[in-house]
Amino acid sequence: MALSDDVNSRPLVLLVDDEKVSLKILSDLLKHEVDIALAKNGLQALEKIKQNKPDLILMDVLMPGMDGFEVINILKADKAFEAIPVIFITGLNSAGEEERGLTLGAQDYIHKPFSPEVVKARVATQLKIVRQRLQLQRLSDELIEASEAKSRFLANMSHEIRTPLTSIIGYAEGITQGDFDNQFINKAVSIIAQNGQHLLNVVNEILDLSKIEANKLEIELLDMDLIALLGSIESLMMQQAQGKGLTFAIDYQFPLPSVINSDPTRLKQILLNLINNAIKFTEQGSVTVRVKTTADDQLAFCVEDTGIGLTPAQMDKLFADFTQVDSSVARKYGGTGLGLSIARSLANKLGGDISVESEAKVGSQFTVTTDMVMPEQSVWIEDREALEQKRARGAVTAKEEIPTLSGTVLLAEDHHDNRALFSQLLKRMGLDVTAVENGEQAVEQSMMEDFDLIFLDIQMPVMDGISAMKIIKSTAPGVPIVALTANAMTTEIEKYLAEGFTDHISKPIDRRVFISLVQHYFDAAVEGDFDLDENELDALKVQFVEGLVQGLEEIKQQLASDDWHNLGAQAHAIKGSAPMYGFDELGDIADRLEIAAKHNQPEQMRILAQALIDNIDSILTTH
Amino acid sequence: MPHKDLSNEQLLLAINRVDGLDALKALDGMSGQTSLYLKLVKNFAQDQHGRADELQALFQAKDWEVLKRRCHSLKSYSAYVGAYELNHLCADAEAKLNKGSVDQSVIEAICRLLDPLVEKLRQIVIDNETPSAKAEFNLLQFKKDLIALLPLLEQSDFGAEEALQKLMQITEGRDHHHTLQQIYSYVDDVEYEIAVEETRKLLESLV
Repeated sequence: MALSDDVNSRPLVLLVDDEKVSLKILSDLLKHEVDIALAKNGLQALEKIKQNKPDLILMDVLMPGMDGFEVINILKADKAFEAIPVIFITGLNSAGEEERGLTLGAQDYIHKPFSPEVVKARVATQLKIVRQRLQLQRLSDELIEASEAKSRFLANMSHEIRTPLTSIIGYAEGITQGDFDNQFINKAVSIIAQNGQHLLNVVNEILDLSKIEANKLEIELLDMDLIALLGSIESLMMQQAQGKGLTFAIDYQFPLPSVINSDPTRLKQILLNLINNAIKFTEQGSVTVRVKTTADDQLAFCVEDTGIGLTPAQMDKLFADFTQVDSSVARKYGGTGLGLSIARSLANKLGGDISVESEAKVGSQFTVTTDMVMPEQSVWIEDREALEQKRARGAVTAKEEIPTLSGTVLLAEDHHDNRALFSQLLKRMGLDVTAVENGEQAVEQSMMEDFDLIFLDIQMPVMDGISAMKIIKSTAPGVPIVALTANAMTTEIEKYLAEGFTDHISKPIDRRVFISLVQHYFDAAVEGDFDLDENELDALKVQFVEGLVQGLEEIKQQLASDDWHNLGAQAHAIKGSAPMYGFDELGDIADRLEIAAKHNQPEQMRILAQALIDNIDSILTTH
Repeated sequence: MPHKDLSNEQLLLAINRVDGLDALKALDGMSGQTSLYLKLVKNFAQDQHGRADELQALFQAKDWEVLKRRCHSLKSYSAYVGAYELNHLCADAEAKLNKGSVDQSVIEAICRLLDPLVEKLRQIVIDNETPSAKAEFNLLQFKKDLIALLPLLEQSDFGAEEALQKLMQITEGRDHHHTLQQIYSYVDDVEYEIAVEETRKLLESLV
């Protein structure tokens, strides 16, 4: 095998000489390091070059018939062979002949009688050059391919970014220009939010890729509720799947651990990527996620679909960056082409991998495995019944609760829209908010008033967040100060905390994380309240159901008398507690009823109140 | 084939004592590879037997081109075995033939050195060889020998020549002798690739 086939194989050297003694000597010298092919004349040499494509040719000049110069002329005129280096071996001591040979393209000369050391050294040098040239050629080919892939990626990115922006800008302008009636405005805002989220996902994928390339992709290992995570994914994906007429299900293959030590954000990212792809590439049938443990104590999540499937050639390039399986798929289905590459990098970070089995036009199965580290508090869930009980005990609500707090907050954020958003959110929690534009104003306010909690953006004009924090801490050392960071790298966060910040939250903020963080600093007694044992929970559930009996009568009266205010209050109470006992649907209806009450929508309230009554009736019948 | 009572070292010393030959200098130029040097000397003694007559005949025929090639080959060969005076005479003859022709005296001087040298070397390396007893043909051993031959052919190793000669000796007058002769002729023409194919076919026919 020549170096051109495998750069790590033994090189092939062709020895050409009409004197057999020269062939014998050279062969004997070189055969331990290289593979040998032989030729006695120019014609035979050309045949063997075509057959074997050697890495190096050692050739006599003076041969009967076709001499060495004629052979090299023919080689250099053929693109397939012109790069093969030639060393002439000669018994003639002629400078003119040497000049001619070198001019024709020979790399070197060896004189007879041979010195073994000289022969070996010259051959080794030329073969080293051949290896380097092949490696450079391979590198060049890879770089060209990477460059072409990046060009395709940029073209695709332009589409992926511009498409949601079109909706965002378009609908926003429509709202400001009064193009939509009141009924449609909520929907328009919802569309803006969805597209904004999609755009954020695209940006995050690009940032994740740059982190992977810089070897800075980070995971944060936490004790996480596996069942809650899967439940959240099911909620997110069910609607999307059903919207396409697909069935979607999570198939729990017991036993499964209740809690594992992993990175919930990244694990969710991987699973959402795979499920999104499955839904995207399936027009009819189903998407199923099978969750199980493996023989080597890992967790496996198998996302199976009945979609378009993949050919073997498509599977080969599946996990490469910037690659959709082919451009027609990219045009039809969209996508950045980064998701699987990132997903695999994340899976590797979590101690596992992603594999795929697929058949074109039948469907695909993507399996992600991760380490399964069970912390102390984790238990084995053995069957479906245990799973439902776990869910009932879990403090999972379908919609987020915004707590009612009391206190003062100082917010320094130079971006107007962000400042307005954070302020609104804090005020909804019942807090008094002072919002300023820069660090200097924050320092001034902190000197005029005592605050219970301070949020400081880092990058601000006039005075940045770090400078402001240091001044504030020197005068009010006990107040918690939270950094609002756009840069979420661990090293940067560690730096802010080392500088003196109490905590941090990354932008764009996750509402639930933000609410939880604020609640933490205002109400430290939240944790541990839901740690009930089974009997206590059953007793509370019975109590709740008994309470529904009276509640049902009150709702009917409030509906009959159009008592929207009290109906709203009733809905609020049910919304907060129903999901805790596994009555998710009841909690959902109550939540929507409360929202309709707040927005003063009587017609909506009538419909929802009736739905609430029907649901309570159903619960009372079965419990 | 074993040499009667002569080790490599003894052979070397005997060769070195031949007039017109500096075996030790030649061996030095081959980084001390004694077995290779002895093979070259043996080949020289075989290949150059009758060469002097050929050179004379070419001169008489004024076939300068072929004569030049023969002198060119002999020039290198003689240097490899350590016959440096012969080497210089051949270089001189070649240089003159490059200009058109050469004097008879030059060719005669070459022949005067070459003939006795070849004869002496033949006595040492060929005539002293004790012919080994012809092995009895055994099909199983024959197959094993062919299997052992294949890698030599695949690697274009000149050791295949000696191995084939032994096999031809064993199969003389038997089936496959002709096939082996054909394989040997391919090897002689350094068509090792064809020799490999033919050897594989022969092995398959024996299964």
